[in-house]
Formats: sequence, C-alpha cells, structure tokens
Amino acid sequence: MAAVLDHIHMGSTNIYTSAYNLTKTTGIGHYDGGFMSSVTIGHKAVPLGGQVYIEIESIVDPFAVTPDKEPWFYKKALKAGTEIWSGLCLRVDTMEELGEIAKRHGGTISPRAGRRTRPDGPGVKFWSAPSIAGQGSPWEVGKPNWYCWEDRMYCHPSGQPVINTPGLVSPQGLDYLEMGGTEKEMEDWLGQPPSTLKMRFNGKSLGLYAIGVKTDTGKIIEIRRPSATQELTVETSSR
Amino acid sequence: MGLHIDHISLASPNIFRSADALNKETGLGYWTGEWIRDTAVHIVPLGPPGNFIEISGFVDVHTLKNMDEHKQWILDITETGDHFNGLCLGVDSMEELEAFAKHFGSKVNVPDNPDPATHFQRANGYILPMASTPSGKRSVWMKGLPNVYFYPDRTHHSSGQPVHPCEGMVRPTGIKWIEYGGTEEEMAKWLGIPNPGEVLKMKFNGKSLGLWAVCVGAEGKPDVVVRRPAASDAVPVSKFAD
Repeated sequence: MAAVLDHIHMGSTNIYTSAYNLTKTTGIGHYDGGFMSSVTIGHKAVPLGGQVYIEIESIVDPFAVTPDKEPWFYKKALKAGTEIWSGLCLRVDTMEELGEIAKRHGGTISPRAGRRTRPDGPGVKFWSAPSIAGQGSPWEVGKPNWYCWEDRMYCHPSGQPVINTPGLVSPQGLDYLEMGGTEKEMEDWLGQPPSTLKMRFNGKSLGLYAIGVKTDTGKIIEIRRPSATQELTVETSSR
Repeated sequence: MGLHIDHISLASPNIFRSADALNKETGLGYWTGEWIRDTAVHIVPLGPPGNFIEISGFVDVHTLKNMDEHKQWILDITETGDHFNGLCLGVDSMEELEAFAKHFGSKVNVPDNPDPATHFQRANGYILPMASTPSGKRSVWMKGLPNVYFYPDRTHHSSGQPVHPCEGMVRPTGIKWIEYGGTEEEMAKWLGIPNPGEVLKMKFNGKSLGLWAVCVGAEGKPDVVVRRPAASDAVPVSKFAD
C-alpha cells in the first residue's frame, strides 16, 4: 500500500510564539502536544484535516542541551530568524511496510521508538525509517521519511481538539505541497508517484517550501516557510 | 475573602516535565497556561476558593543569551530542579491593594501596555486583567517575600480553568496550609497584619525565607503535600538585599 502524508515538522525557537502566530495569521488552531522522549523538546500540534498535522518543536529546557548539542532544526530556525519546514513525514500502517522501505534505502528501522508524553492522555509511540549508518536524518537533505504508529490512528495527533480561539477555521486537508527538486528525484526516493501526495515542484534545493490547506470557508491557506535545505542569510549567534 | 493566598509559583527547568511529574506524583491535573516572550507556565488548580500553582520556566532558551538579574536568578534556582519561588496573595478590591502598596511604600502595578506581547497571554490570546503590588525593578520574590494581586474580573481566573484529563486524577478541595521559612513576626512586619499564620494558614519553619511546602485537600483521598525547596535554598535572599 502506498504511504500517505502523516505530518510536517516545523522547527522553531519558541513553540509558543510560533503556534500562536500561526493560528493568528491563518485561523488554523493548535493544541499542546506535550514533550518528546528526550524531554528536551516541547511540542505543539496543528491539525490540518485529512489525518495530517503540523508538529512545531523546539528546545524547552535550558539545561538539557548545550549549544553544541542543539538539534539541527533548532539551529536552522535560529539562523533563519523564523520557523523552518524541517521535515516531511509519511505514514505506513505496518512495521513490515516500514521495514521494506528501510531496506530499499539501504538502512533499517530506527533502533529506538520515538515517544511523546501528551498532557491529556496516554503517551504515543512510533517508529521511523530509514535509519542509515553514517548518515543524518533524510530531513536534513530535504527528503521525507516514513513513520509507523504503535496503534495507527488511536490518539493520532491530527484528530485531537484544538484550543478555542477567535477566528478559527476548520481545515479540510492539504491541497498541495510545494517541494524543491524535481518530480523524478522525488519519485525515485518515494517509490510511488509524488502526485499521490499532492506534491508540486519548484526546482529549488530539495525540501518543503509551502503547503496549501483547504478550509471550510473555501479558501486555500498557504503556509510558507524556509526549507531545511535553503541557504539562510540571517546570521544569529548561539547562546 | 479579605487577604488570602491566590497562587504559588514553582520555578522549573522544564515546565513540561515538571507538570507531568507533579501530576504523576500527586494526581493533581494541570492545563496549558499563559506565556510571555521566553517564559511560559503550566497551571495546577488547587480548588476553592480559587488557588493554583503556576509552574514557570523558560521556553525560548536562545533569549538567555541576553541575561538580566531576574533571568539569572531563575536559572540559578532551577539548575538543581524545581523550587518554589513565589507566594502570591490576593485581595478583593483595588482599595485594599492600594492600601498594601502604601504599606510597602510602593505603588500598584497596572499592566496597561496595549501591546499584547508585553502581557502573559493564553494560547488563544486571552489576557487576564490583574494588578499587583509592590511594583519595582526587583521582584520581592527574590527576597523570599510574597506580593499581592487583585483581579477586577475573576471570570477567567486561572484556578477555574479545566485541566487536561489524566489517569488517577484527584479533585483538589483547596489549600489547607503552607509551610514558609522565617518567622511569623517577620511575615507580620512585611504584610502589616498581626497574625499572618492564622489568616493565611501559614506554618513557619525558621528556615530561609520562601515557600517550602503546600498541603492541598483532595476529595475522598488523603491530603496532598507538595514539598519543594524554596528558591532561597539555592540562592540566598541576602544576595538581593538593598
């Protein structure tokens, strides 16, 4: 079975301001997603409809990580002076499918499951692939990776209620993803036609550049941020 | 109500982890509270008549590049974990608050900047109107002393907001007592009232100034005691003597 889009990672330096500003400018609501297993990273979730969501993440513990160990997406967001699109995450239903994808890319399923502690219920557990020895995350080079949730759509972040906020719209799923690179490059990586994921290509460096979100008002809302692979010119020193 | 406890501040190195840990330790629920710039709080309601713990900490670590005295204090007291760093009393009218301001030789702090970014705001942008005293460049919390608040409208008071559901949740029935450093005489002098122990359900342990524990009633269950070191245990109040 072909993979489907699961979520989009937005790297941030302050998940509160990023989530608030995103809701304020688009009307798309968010909620508190808790923290990741590393306890370093806080999480806000933005459901987009169609079983897809944005996860906004950043460091929320000044003692948990020294500046030289900060996550790459955090450093990129810092350098950009804004949030970045750091990763695109596809979903498969079974570990067998995930294993086949990992094998096709010459890697394995990540040896450790990811975990997130939610403020409002059971924790969630997931596995990702490919994990390739000696290589960083596919995200860093602008390529999607794949996820398999422990219990598929149970407590899936795309289906949780958002905080009531004036001006909310009801998102109805994605209309398009604007990607760098070419359709051929992406098809080779995905092993399925990019059109099945509503991808468009702008020919720039690989990575995500913008998404179009359908809403109940009939309007398509575009959310555009720098891609993870984009050359960033704003210099900001670290802590 | 007259002079009463409104809320308690618990400084944390990681508000997500601390709220989760307190919840698992006590069964007390919390909700995702306000934030301002680099700081956010998770709120733990404690029951009637309207008390809560705010678990506060930095959520934008890059801003620590530009340090000031208050930020440094928070970092210093949270380096070794959670510490109670503030006791916030409440009164029922602006007149009472002004009387406290006069007693403190200060003025009432009324946040009236129209820019929402200068206020603690909730995830949906709501800003809870409040006034406090004393007003000054250096918070009295750093000296281990309480300040006083007045809310013109308590409709959306932090103590009354729904918490995230959790397993084994207890229903808090209000503060039964708090344990404070110093002596009752010191507190009486600071507040200008004769018997703060009785009025505010305070016990005094003679240690360094600041809050050391809070006891909360729980419906159908044993009382919950939340015990953490006072901020003055990590950074002496003498550091902030005028």
